[in-house]
Amino acid sequence: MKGLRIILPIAAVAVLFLLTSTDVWSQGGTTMPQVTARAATINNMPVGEVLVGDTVVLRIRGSAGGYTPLQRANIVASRLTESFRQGLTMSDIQVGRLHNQSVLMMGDNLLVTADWREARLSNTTPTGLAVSWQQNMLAALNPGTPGAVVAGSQETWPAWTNPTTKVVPIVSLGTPGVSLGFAQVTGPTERVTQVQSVVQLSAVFERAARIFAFVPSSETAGMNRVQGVAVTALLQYQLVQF
Amino acid sequence: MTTRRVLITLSIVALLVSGGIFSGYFTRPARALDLGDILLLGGVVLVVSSFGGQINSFVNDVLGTHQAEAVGATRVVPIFSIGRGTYVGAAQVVGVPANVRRTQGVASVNVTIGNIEGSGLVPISTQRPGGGSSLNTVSGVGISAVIDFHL
Repeated sequence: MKGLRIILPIAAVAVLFLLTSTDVWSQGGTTMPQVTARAATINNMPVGEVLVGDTVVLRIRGSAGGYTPLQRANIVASRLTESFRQGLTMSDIQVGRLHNQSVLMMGDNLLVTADWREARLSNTTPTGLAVSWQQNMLAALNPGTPGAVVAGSQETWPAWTNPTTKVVPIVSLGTPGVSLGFAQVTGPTERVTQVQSVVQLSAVFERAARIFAFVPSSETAGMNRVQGVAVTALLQYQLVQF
Repeated sequence: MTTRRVLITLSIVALLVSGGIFSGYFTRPARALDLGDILLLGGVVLVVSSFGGQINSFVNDVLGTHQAEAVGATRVVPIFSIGRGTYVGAAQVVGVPANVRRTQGVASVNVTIGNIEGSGLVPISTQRPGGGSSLNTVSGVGISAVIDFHL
């Protein structure tokens, strides 16, 4: 009995130590993923790599804010580790927008910003890059199952092998419900059928040119780009003077 | 008397010239040619060749802020109006990289009915359509944005 009195406090302390140590993930007692960063060279260019276990989930190719690619990779790795320590899980890893830039978040924690420079170096768009990072992390954290399917993730522009066309209204993002005219969109049949409208965005470049961007959308009131489809004809109320 | 008049006149001219120099009238700072200047001097084709990359990035950034950027390759090329026989603007084309690289221009076929103006926009592999019936169209490429220089 006396021996039990001594052993029980020691066991309690040991369990407490185990629970608070970094080797145990607070979520369900699962082992916390090991996140590391390392330097690598690709095409004679120094890059920083972030690994979850043995899998490279993210590669940083450019310097920013005075930090080298390796230093940036170390920052991302420490943010990811800290997020896991806070009890966040893979379901908290989301692509979002912060200060008009595509970012990868874990809960409310910023993990990494996918800027245009980084995206171009990877031959993709910022959102595409952030989504691919997210997919890599999900696949590394749950290797038994493929990552969640996200619209537009790691997508490339499809070849128009069997194209079809469709005429849809052109709507302005600022004034939903008001048609500015009509647009003919072209693309693969299965994509074109999804298009419900073309959203027009306008901006001024260098005070000398007005830009009208046309986004094929699967919604009539909102903007949800249908990739692989583009405009081939415009019918507008003398907005653009050709 | 004549000598005195000449001296007075020379003094006035010297004063005006030196005043002009000190006030900066004759030494206005040089400025770089901007998009508007190049548009006036060289037209749409020169603007596109000089600023096409910047305009392309600008359009992608605008789309990016709305999470609506295209996953395909993009490029800015001049629009040639077949009806008017002249360049009328520029367009950002989008598609698979190989086809976008081939695209050198967009041919615009216009139809106007009252206040409604229709434009068929056809990506082509030359800056302006050839004299023959063929437009040298590039398949698999569409229009992502049009750029109007009539500001």
